[in-house]
Amino acid sequence: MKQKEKNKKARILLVDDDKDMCESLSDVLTLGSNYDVVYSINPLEALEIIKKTDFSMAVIDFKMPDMNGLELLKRIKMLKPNIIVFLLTAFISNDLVEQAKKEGAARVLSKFIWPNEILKCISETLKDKQ
Amino acid sequence: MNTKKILYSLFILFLLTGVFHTAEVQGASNAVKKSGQIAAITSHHHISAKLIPWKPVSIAIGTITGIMLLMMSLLWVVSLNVRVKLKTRQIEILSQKMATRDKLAVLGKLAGQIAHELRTPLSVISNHVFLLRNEGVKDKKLFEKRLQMLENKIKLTSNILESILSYSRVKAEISTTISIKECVEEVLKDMAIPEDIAIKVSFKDEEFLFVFMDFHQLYSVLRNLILNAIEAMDINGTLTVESFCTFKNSIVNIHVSDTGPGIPENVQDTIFHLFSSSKITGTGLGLPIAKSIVEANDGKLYLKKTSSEGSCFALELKTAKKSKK
Repeated sequence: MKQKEKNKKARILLVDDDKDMCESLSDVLTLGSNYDVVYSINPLEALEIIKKTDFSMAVIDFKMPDMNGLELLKRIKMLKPNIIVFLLTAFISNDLVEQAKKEGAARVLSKFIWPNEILKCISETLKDKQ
Repeated sequence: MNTKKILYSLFILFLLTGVFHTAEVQGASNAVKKSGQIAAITSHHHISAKLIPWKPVSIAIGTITGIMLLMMSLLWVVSLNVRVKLKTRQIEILSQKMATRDKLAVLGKLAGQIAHELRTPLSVISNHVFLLRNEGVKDKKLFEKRLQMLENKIKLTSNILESILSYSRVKAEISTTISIKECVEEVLKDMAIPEDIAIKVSFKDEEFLFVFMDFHQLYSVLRNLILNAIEAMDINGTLTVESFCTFKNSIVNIHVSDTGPGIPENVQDTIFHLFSSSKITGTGLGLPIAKSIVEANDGKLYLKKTSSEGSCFALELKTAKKSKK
């Protein structure tokens, strides 16, 4: 777990088993000092972090060892139903979108999403929530 | 089923007819004996025993029924044959459909896996490009770090594509007589093996340790086996590569062993299956690709033994003619 910044900005949790992905996306989200980002490469650790910290949003990968993104989404929603969850997946299928929405995901996004787009999606969703 | 029912009914009818007529003839015979004269005895049949003898009638009915039974049996056999053929064809069509579905399922799985394997490094690349554009070169160290990351991810993407392509072109294109010793040494030289891991290499019957295949293919198979062996050992251990010839079947054997904890029993059967990987960073392509390459060269690759003391993979290839080297 690594915390990039500490202030009163919207706090986002990133969960992806690829550390390079976590680090680069975390850098993108904190670039304009817009968000407070915490990341974890382990879904079980992520759940422990969620228990202790309040987050506005969680951006989670679908394909991970130990626990997939859908299961993590389910558990996050059980712990903190108000967290907005984005599910990232390399391979979007209708079934997955349907299941993810059913479990409470706000968006299902392609893993290969341009940084500008994910920043836009996050800011719009957080604005709508407010 | 209907034909069967008809046949059973006819058979029972035939038996009953036979029994009934035997009883009637017996009864008539007794009646004649008792009265001493010929009398009408079949009031319900309205047939006179005097005019129509019972035995020939019974035989005629039996014969007709028998012929009918025979014809029905033949009909039943013919219809059964037709039905068997029809069902066989249905099974063939179904199995063809299932094979197509299996292929599509494999293709779908492959597409999903490739998408995942490629999109992750591509996302990292796009993030770093975005960051470089926005951060500029103010922080030289960070700039260099990002460039290094870009280079690493491009290499990774290229390796993934190479692995996938090598699976599709498993047949050797440039086969030459190659030395096992040279190939093993080349692989070991190119790999960054942790210092804590001891390496034992032995070559027996060196003059026979030559195979006729594509050098890069053998290189990638050996690299994969050695890399797996190293990754199986956490901190320290011994990597052993042994090669020897079995003269009775002209086979070159290469054994790659490690002193790791062994392969769990529940995954032993699937280690050569596509996308089956117990390693976090595994793509599940290494061993299936290696096996495909070896089999395309008429060889064998299998798990020779595994226990809590380590694992050994065996590679068997046909020896090439003795080299003059």
